[in-house]
Order: sequence, then structure tokens, then C-alpha cells
Amino acid sequence: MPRLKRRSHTFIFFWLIVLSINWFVACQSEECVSIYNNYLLVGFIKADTLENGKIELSPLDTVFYSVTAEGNDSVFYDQSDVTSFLQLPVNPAGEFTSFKFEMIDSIGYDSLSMQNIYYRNPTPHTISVSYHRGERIIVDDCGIEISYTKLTLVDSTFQNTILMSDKLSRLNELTNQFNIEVLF
Amino acid sequence: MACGQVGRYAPSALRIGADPGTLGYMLFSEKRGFFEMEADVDIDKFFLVANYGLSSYKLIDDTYTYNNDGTYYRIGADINLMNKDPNLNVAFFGIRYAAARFDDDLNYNTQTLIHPDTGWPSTWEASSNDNVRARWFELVTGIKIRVVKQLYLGFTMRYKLFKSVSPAEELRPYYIPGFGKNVVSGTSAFGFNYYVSYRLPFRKKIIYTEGDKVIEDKKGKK
Repeated sequence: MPRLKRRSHTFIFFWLIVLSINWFVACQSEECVSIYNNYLLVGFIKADTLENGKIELSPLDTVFYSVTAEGNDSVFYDQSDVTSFLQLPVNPAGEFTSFKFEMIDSIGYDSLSMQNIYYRNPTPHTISVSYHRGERIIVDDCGIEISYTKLTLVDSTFQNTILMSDKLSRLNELTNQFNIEVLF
Repeated sequence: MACGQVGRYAPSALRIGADPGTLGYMLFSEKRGFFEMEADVDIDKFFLVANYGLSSYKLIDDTYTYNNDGTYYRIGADINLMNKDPNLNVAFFGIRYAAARFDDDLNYNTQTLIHPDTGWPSTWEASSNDNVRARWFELVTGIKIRVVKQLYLGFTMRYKLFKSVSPAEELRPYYIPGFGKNVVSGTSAFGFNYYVSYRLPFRKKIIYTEGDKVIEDKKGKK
């Protein structure tokens, strides 16, 4: 085969390879989804010591007078919510959030309105967390993903509070992985 | 080698050019602007090639604005598959090492499209990177056709791979000058450049054929 012809074949072959790679690369598209959210999962766990000395952990249904965050007027949970875990939104505009858990001191009954009256304990509990915020544009039309990682438990007035996962993620909810566990 | 003759691998010409796509982006694109120059040195059937570019990239959306400004360069070598062509046309493939340096900044609303309910009032936040560095390699192929005298038109296709970006603390850069979008799903990208270039010969190019017969320059004289 003449050398020129062989070279043109090599050149065409090389281009076919490059175009194939181009097609492959062009077909890789970024999904408009994010595993991150800004919800801190706080689980309430009852720890019972069994006769054999082992500790049994079980979810503990809990009611609060209110659960709020410093700098936010919203009440995330109130007396009507009975749950063993809370989804608490951390501040997306900062790297520190302090949550206030107001406890129910006592419950009365108003016979006129036929409703329970909840009395607040004057001493609330707090849990404060810090975290690292990261941003990225997923794709042009999809916008920004904000990730919350390196979660640190800064302060807790509950007696036993454990940091279990340092990443705020939708996957935590699916896998029942709490970020923070409060043991009673 | 006789006195006065030059060696086969002595550079015979310098070709300098620019990507006219700059004008197209300037006129029709609000997102992207760039200016890219290319120079190559003709050494027998090889070329030593260098590119230098300036880049700006801007995205404006309801929930964010992103700005990216920087420079990039590429260096590498091409092999000419048409090195026997007396008209000095070029069909090449080659490799490049490329690097970029850039600044970028992002202003965004905390209630984004994929985080519409944060449980907090929406606010605008800012994040930025200074002096980010990136590097990658390229496999390239293309042609340079001599259209009139020493003026060439051509294009280069690039497969960019092995991208590496210096770690950013907070904001992941979305765009890398000279490379393209810095998406999570891949470390490779595809690129394309047109070039208009002008060849500045240092001397007559000797074209070596089989059997050591030589053709000098473009006229095909033996």
C-alpha cells in the first residue's frame, strides 16, 4: 500500500476514534438531583439496661411544647407532633445553628373548649451545631446545590447526646441514619 | 552536511494564529467570551505548539449569578501526516499539556431550585475562589489548509482528559478556562477550535521524500 494511502487511513481511523469519544462524552449528562438537604435528623432513643447487662436501644416517642431555631420565627414542631425523631432545618445562610427545645411541664384540661392546655417548662434544652457549607452549580438550568458536611456538635443541654453522622443528606432519612441521637 | 545547508530538524517556520470563534462569541454569546492565540514551530514533520487564551464565563439565573475569569495555556507537539505535501498543508494529531488559572464567584439565593424549602427565609449569599489552578492533557487532531500565500485556515478537535483542579474550600468551580464545564460526572471533555494563522518562514522548507530525493518548498521543484 502506498505510504500516503496508509497515512490517510491512519488519519481517518484516528478521527473515527475521536468522534466516538466525543459522542460518548456528549452523552454523559449531569442529573438535576442532589443528595444533600439542610435537615438535621435528631433521633430520641430510649436506652434500657437489661438483666444480662446489655443495653437495649429503642425509639422514644417524644412531644415538645415547641422546637425552634435561633434567628428563625418558625415553629418546627409543637404539642401536636408526637415523634421519635425530628427533622430540623439548619440555617443555609450560616455555618452555625442553635435549636431550642421547649419541654412540656404539665398538661391541663380546659372543659370549656374541651382541649388540653400545655404548660411550658421554663428551662428549655438546646442543641447547637456547626457545619461546613459547600456550593456547586449542578448544571446551568438546575441551579445551585448547597452541601452541609463536617457537622460538629457544639453544645447540648440534653444529658446524653451523640453525633452519629456528619453529613446532612437525603440518604440519612432513607437509611434511618440520624445525625444526632439523644439518649434517655 | 554541506556548508550553508541546514539540518533536517532545524526549524523552518513559525506560524501564528488566532481563533476567530472569539468574534462569534463576542457577538452572539452572553455567557462566554474568550481570545485564543496559537503558535507553532515547523520542524520537519513535527510541530511544537503553544496556545495562550483569555477567558470569561458568566451565568445569570433567577436564583444565582456566576462569574469566572482566567487564563490558560497549552504546550505540546503535533505530527504532520501530510509532511510530503509540497503545498505545506497539514493534517495532524498530537498531544498537549494544558493548565489554567482563574478566579470565580457565585452569588446565590439560599432557596434554590433543588432546595426550595429550607425552612428559613431566603437570603442571598456569596462565595468565591481566588487563583484556582487546573491542569489536564489533550489528544488533538485537525487540519491546517493553506488558502492563499502563507495564510492558513484550520481547526483542531480536542479530547481533554485527566483533569485536575486545586481543591476549593467552599465553592466548586463550575467552569475551567480552556477546558470547559467542571461537572462532577467526568474528568474529560471535548473541544473544538478554528484557527486563522499566518506562516512566517525562516528559510525554504526541504521536503524529504523516499529515497532521499528532496522537494524544496511549495512549488514542487525537484
